[in-house]
Amino acid sequence: MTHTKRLIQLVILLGASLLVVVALRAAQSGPPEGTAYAGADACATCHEEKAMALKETPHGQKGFDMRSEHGCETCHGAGTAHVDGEGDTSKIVQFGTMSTTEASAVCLQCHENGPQTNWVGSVHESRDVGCIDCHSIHSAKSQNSQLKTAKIEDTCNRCHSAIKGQLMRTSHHPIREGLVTCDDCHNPHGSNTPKLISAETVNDKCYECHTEKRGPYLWDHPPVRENCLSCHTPHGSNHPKLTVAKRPWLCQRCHADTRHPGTLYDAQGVDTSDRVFDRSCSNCHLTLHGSNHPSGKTFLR
Amino acid sequence: MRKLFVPALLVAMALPVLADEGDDNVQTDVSVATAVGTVSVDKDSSKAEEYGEVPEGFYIKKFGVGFDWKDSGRHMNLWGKNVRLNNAQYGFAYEQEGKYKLTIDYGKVPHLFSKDAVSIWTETAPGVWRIPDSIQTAIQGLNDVPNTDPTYQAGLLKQRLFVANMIKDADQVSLSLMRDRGKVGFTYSMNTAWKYGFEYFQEKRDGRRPFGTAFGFSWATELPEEIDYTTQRLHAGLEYSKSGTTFAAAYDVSLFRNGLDSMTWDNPLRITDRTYSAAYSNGDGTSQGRVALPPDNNGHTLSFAAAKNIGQSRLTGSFAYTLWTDDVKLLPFTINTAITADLPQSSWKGKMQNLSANLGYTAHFGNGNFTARYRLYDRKNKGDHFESEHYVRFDQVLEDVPIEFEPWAYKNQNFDLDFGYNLGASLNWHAVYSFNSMDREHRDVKKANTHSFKTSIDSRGLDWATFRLSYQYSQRRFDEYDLEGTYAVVQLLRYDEANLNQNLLKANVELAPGDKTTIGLTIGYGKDEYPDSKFGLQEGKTFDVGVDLSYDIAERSSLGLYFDHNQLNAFQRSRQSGSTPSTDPNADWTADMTDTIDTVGFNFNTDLKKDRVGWNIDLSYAQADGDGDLFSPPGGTPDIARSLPNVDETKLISAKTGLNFKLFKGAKMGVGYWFQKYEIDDYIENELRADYVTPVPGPNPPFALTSPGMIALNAAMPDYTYHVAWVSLSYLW
Repeated sequence: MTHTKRLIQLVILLGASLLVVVALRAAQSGPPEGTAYAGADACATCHEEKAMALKETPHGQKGFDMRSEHGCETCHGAGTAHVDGEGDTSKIVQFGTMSTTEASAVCLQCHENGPQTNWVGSVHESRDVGCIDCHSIHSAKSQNSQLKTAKIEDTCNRCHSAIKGQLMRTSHHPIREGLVTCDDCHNPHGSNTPKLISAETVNDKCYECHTEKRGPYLWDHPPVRENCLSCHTPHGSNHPKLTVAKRPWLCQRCHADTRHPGTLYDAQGVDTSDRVFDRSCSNCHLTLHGSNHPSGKTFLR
Repeated sequence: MRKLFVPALLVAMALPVLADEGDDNVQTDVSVATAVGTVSVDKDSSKAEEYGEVPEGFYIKKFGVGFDWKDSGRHMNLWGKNVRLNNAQYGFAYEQEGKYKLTIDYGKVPHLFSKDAVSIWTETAPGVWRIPDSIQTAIQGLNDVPNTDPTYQAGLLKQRLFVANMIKDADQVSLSLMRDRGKVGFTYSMNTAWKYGFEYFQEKRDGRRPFGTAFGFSWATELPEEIDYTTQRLHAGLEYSKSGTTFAAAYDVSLFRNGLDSMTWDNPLRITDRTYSAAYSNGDGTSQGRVALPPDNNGHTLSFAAAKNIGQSRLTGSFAYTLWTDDVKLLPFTINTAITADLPQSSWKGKMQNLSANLGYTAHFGNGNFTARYRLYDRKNKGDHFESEHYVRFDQVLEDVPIEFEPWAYKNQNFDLDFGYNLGASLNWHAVYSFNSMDREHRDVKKANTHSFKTSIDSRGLDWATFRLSYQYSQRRFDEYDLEGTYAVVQLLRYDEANLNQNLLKANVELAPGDKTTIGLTIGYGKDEYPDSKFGLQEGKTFDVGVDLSYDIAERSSLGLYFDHNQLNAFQRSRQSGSTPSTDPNADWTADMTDTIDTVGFNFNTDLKKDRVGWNIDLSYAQADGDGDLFSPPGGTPDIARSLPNVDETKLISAKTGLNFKLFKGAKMGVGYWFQKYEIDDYIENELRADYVTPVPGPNPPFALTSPGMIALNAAMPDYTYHVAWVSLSYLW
């Protein structure tokens, strides 16, 4: 069976699965809804500490009041039944008992715009990650964005622990020094670009800080222009310049022309070849990211 | 930027404060943390201060000033950290809740490349590196004969030894870069639906970084590149969002300006220009080299985005048009006056048009959800045509090799179908199919398609456990690979275009047994295979396993432990050729490169005396072990391969501990100690030096004696060991 046929069959299978599920669709369950609002003062009677703490956050301030007049009950639902039931927890919206989607839907009532526009359908949403996995309304630890940890890196690293190890490598962006953060490059709330990059392409993101590499150039190095990640790994490398492998072997993965590009440079070359020591290939090919010199066709000028 | 920032900040701060002077409703918070550090260095290296100086003496760790006008819902905050240090950061925000917000940020991002660099050149003007004429004349005099002269090789050796002696007395040069960056942002909400915003960003980059330069195949040099870059960005946007409907439009401008068009440097071997008939020369033709530096360039983007909730589904779409341009006055083909080569045109205009369009639809129904996405990214290259019958290599030789601008471009389309279903008990299953189509111009592969399948299971059914598992298989296939020249014989397929089978498995478990303990376990395995690549990258593998544990021992007492093991392996094959492509399988060689990286961390903090005395300790250790197994069958060229003993092997040990004491209400004092040790073991980095001119004995002495020369900067980042102690004092009013 050809690959194409297999692929077509898989697509059909996927489509059929979808139709079955659509046919079986059930009514969307939602948070319990009360009918009468008790008012924020009533909440504070029992939850004074939380009510006071909330006032110091955006959800306790004027901007929030402009969007809702129900205070705590904006998110937790009308609370009269809860109050009348002497704190009956079944009669109030409790985020801990809701599904991830239901809990996030409450937040999205106000936060489905700006950076969150693409949250629905994003990779985080589809993997059952919700707003309250990263954010805390009542006991946030970060200075901004009400995160559950003091630093955004610590929030992301809870799931992306391999990245945490990469940040410790010798060649790195100044992330562990606190000068670059995850959200400088990624939008965790969803993006049209793979890997939640907050730009149209990976290169567009890199050019924000490395603008000199944007060109356009008379002499382009197409793999470089197509994707910086062809040669670089942004979270950390043990090779200089955040490269995915050491030069010259990195360059030799694509270049095997006659004479020096295809030559084996082994342990002896460190003392004997200017293709190996110091900057390796870029000892001479100095404008690898592009050149506007009329003699720069091979990036020597 | 700093000159603008300080007055702007003072004015911005003064206005609201003066307006409400004496207002009892204003709540003021002021905090400041200062420290005095002392540093002891056993071994020094730029690596220790790569992205910021190690604080010594008095500095302000951080400060904050906040005003809250409770009744009117206004806030103002001013903060700073690392004041007096080269990585200082400042911020200011003034906000009327729900109405507008003004933010101003300023910060410095340093990058120190080396403390050990030396150079025999002197920068006489920005981007112009000279050697005194008298020296050039003297060195030229040692070998002022044609390269066909029988005495030429001996003379070249004399010249290089002269240069080697110069390096011994070379001056130190600074190799560091500073980014001074500032940002002003303003958002205004007309009402709860409409929001306008703009942001202006400016960054000035100043300094020098190592830059490879060369005069020929046998005469490479390394010099500092003078950096004088300015980047400006302006963003203006508006957004409407109400009842599940969002519309946004934005215009972005990005301007890059380079204070230098070119860099020029003297050739130590020559004071007068001459040329050769063949490209393979010793680099002693031209008296100078010149390279074009990155050009001024402009970027403009107009973008629109919209989203609409329709029942339980959501439709999103966006469109962006980007234009990148530059307009360059071309340098001559060469600075070598012995070569006459007229430019076919005096200038060149570059133009890239990028079109991006996205459409997405997500539906939630019952226990399932479905997402379909389409993405188009179309990059068109509209640069001016340029062609020539010749060019000048290394400023040495006019070569009659036709060159022509190739308007490289691509169009990338992606279509995703994502289907998810809740299997019950918060067990979610997902299946994703992606189809990617890549159409390229002026590359080896004109068209390639990638099919990807991904499935995942996410379980959140238990309060104390989350389990995630995903597997992805991708298959990329090209229609046709255009193999030309050498590559028609040595059939190397470039890995970013070659046929590819990719497997990726990831698992993640988060456990929270009890309220006090969290345990995270992750494991990942990836394998890339290039099934049709006879030469080039054959296979790449990654394996990662990580454990993250935290335990709250008591109210103010916790510990954390972290471990990550990562292994990266790549196997590549090539063939060595001489002046013609080799057909001899004995000329094949392979490189099997493996990096194994282990990282472990531990932290503990506790109150030794409740609310009075606290203690914390942070320990971390990261080790990278790199190996390069090289192989070539005997009987060909190369005959044998000497494997690489140590490839970028590093160790980083860090230990930090501190005691803090509450003195009285709002006041704290701290004492602490920080130790960091870094070691690098790499067969290239360890041998880094300025003098690659003097022939060195090697395992194959005849080869060593004819070794090509090079003058480098010795831009080393060697081992370091730092001990830092500090006393801090903080106060909150």
